[in-house]
Amino acid sequence: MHRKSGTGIRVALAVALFLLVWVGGSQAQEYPKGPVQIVIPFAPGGSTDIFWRGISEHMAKSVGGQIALVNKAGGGGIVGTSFVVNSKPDGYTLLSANSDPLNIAPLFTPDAPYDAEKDVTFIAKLAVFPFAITVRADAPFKTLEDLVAYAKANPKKLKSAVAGVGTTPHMINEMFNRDAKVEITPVPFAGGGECVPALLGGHVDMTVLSIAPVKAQVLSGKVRVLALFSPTRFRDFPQIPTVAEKGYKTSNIATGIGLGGPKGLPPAIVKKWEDAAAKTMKEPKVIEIVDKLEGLIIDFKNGEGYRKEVLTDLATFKPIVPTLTGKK
Amino acid sequence: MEILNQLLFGFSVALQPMNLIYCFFGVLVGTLIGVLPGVGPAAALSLLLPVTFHVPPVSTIILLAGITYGAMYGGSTTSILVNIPGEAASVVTCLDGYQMARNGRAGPALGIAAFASFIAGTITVFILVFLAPTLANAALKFGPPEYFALMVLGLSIMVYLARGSIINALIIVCFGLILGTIGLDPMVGVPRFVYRINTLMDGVGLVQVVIGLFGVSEVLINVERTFKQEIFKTKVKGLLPNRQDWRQSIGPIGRGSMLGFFLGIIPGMSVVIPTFVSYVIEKKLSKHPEKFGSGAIEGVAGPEAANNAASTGTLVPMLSLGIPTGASTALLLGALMIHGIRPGPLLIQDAPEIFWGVVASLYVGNIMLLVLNLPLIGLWVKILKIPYHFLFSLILLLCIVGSYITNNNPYDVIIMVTFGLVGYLMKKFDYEAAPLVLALVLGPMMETALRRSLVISDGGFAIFFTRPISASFLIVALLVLLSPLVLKKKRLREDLRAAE
Repeated sequence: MHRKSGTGIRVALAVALFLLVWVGGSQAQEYPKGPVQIVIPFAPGGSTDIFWRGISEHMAKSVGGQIALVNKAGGGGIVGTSFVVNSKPDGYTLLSANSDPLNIAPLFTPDAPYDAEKDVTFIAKLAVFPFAITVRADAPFKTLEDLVAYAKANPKKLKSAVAGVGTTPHMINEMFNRDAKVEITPVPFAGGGECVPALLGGHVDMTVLSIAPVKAQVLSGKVRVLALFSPTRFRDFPQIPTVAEKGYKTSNIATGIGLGGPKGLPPAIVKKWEDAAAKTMKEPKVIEIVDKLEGLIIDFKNGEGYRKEVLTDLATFKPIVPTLTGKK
Repeated sequence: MEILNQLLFGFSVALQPMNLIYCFFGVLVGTLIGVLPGVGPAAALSLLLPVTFHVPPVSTIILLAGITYGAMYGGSTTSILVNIPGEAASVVTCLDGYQMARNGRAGPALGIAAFASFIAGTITVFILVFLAPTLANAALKFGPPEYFALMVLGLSIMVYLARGSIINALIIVCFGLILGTIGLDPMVGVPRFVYRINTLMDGVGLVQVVIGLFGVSEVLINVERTFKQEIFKTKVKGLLPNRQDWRQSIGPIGRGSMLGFFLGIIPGMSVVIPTFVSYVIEKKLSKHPEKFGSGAIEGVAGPEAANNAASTGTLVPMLSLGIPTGASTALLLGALMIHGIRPGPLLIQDAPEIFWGVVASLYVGNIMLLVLNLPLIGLWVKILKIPYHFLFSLILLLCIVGSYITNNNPYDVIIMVTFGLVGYLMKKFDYEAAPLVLALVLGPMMETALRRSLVISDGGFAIFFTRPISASFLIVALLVLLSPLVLKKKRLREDLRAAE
């Protein structure tokens, strides 16, 4: 009787274990001997999470091992990142090294638990999330010049929805203000999913937003993209310029998504993953998946290149943050 | 007529054997996920996402939508049986569902939850078909000022949640609102009450608070009492709701469905709020409001309908505008995009088999959920016969596992345990937990809505009164707050007259 009645809970526990450990078989070889845990410092369902779920199979094949993706969300990515930074540098705990928990979130956190310069091993940069200045189709601004001219004539009048305080689009908005000498007021919303309705409903004038949520609206003719913050033009919007092309170079920043680990990671392991990442991001199947996710552009860089980029942006953002939080 | 034809076409897609299997699998996984506290549907969707790359697109969304629904239903199971809400959306179900189980009526409570979910699913799928595009555009009218006004209205009805002292309820509401201010300031990014604990940067986790307040505190209270398990053993009477139950539940189910659906459409509205609103409305409308909180079936039926309806509602902005309104819908969107399908205004034209297939499968999923869950009720109820010393250890284990796996963060377990103790003390001193949960949900939303509105209006408060939707919510809130004064006087007068 009792044995039977416990079935439900036992099934539930089995599922719990299944969720905790998503492990396939492992092959006998040098490294990796078991599954490598890649910590995604964001919740399931975010763009980073979806990106990794899309490519992990191919990445695992390139490196010749198993990958277990683990979400450790919290503190704008700080919780997951600091978990990896403090783990053993044995190559079995790696990090989805997004640029924002490395060069933005620590600036908003008193006593940030790590220093991107000293505590992180950068393995590779895989892709970027470009951002776009988007307005409603019925807005009077046809080009970026129109928008800047209006913003100059009407300081603080334009309201721009950004996906949360201390995020890349928030920083971009502030950087662009300095770059173009305008005052566009950022209005932080909880994520991109709330920015689009705010724009479509006419509650804000513009939004600085990643491309994926915008694209469906562009196709249905509801919004217009004026400019991109991106290293290159976007395949699907070849006619849209980047802000750098319009002369605003310092604000041309996109969120990087890469691979990293704790400091002291053996060079052989770093090399193995760097090569695997380079190979993966060239695979036609991966290129196809990333294309379909629409918000991303593949932007491979080696560890050193990514490290330089993250630290340069960190230096740029550092003086801005205190002016935002009121601690001048 | 055209729509009906297309719907039939949708059914022909959804009823293909392979799709039925995917649907069943989705609903099953969803139910199990829902039963486990802490594991939301988003975590399960995310795990299964790579699998769906190898599955045709219609089947993908059928599978993933099945999980979302199943989780909504499964969440109520633990609420009713052991007072742990599987999801935050099932907190309200604890209030009367668990009391029903204590009275030996776990079967009818589980049964009505299943039927309420099913009926809500049926009603809302049809509204979805006929009104989705119109509704999605109407929902866009909700900007920050409208949210703020709606939250004020939400707070003003909160006192009706209270079973005992209204003063105690208000104290708890304030406590909840204060807890809601913990974390990174949402507008300028200053950390508040974080005390250098990085986990608190995002605020106190709702799931952890809920598991602690309900699950752990219930175990602690029960351990203290002499064991009276005979209640459960002897009086498990009837596994299904009887005629009387149905008569009482059908109204709440209808109202809960409508309410849940329309609130669910509004982007950013959580599935939690409709359940509370439904509960309060049923309590107000009931002829025996005093029974609420001690096992009124209406208090299970309404909110359970509301949470299922709300999860259909959240699909409206995704399917018709291509806007994901939460983690689960974002994953659905991602899964579709990898298959090269972009939900949005053009979905019905570009990929009719997807749109109509999905709509039909929502309905099929609801039927399957019912078929799956009714036989399980007998099994679930037997869990209550497990001796307490085993059952309690299991419940505590579930609470700990559940609070950990939300973010895989050990600090979350500490938060959960802390709130378990807080919840224990609150029970001891006769403070209720439900208003705290609602305040914790509403508080941060209200704060950000207020501050966003003020940024948009350059600091002017007129924005709340010049916009018609916002103004009417505020007026209703005022009426709700003032009505007891007027009604009380009237009742007093009547009592006096009767006395003469």
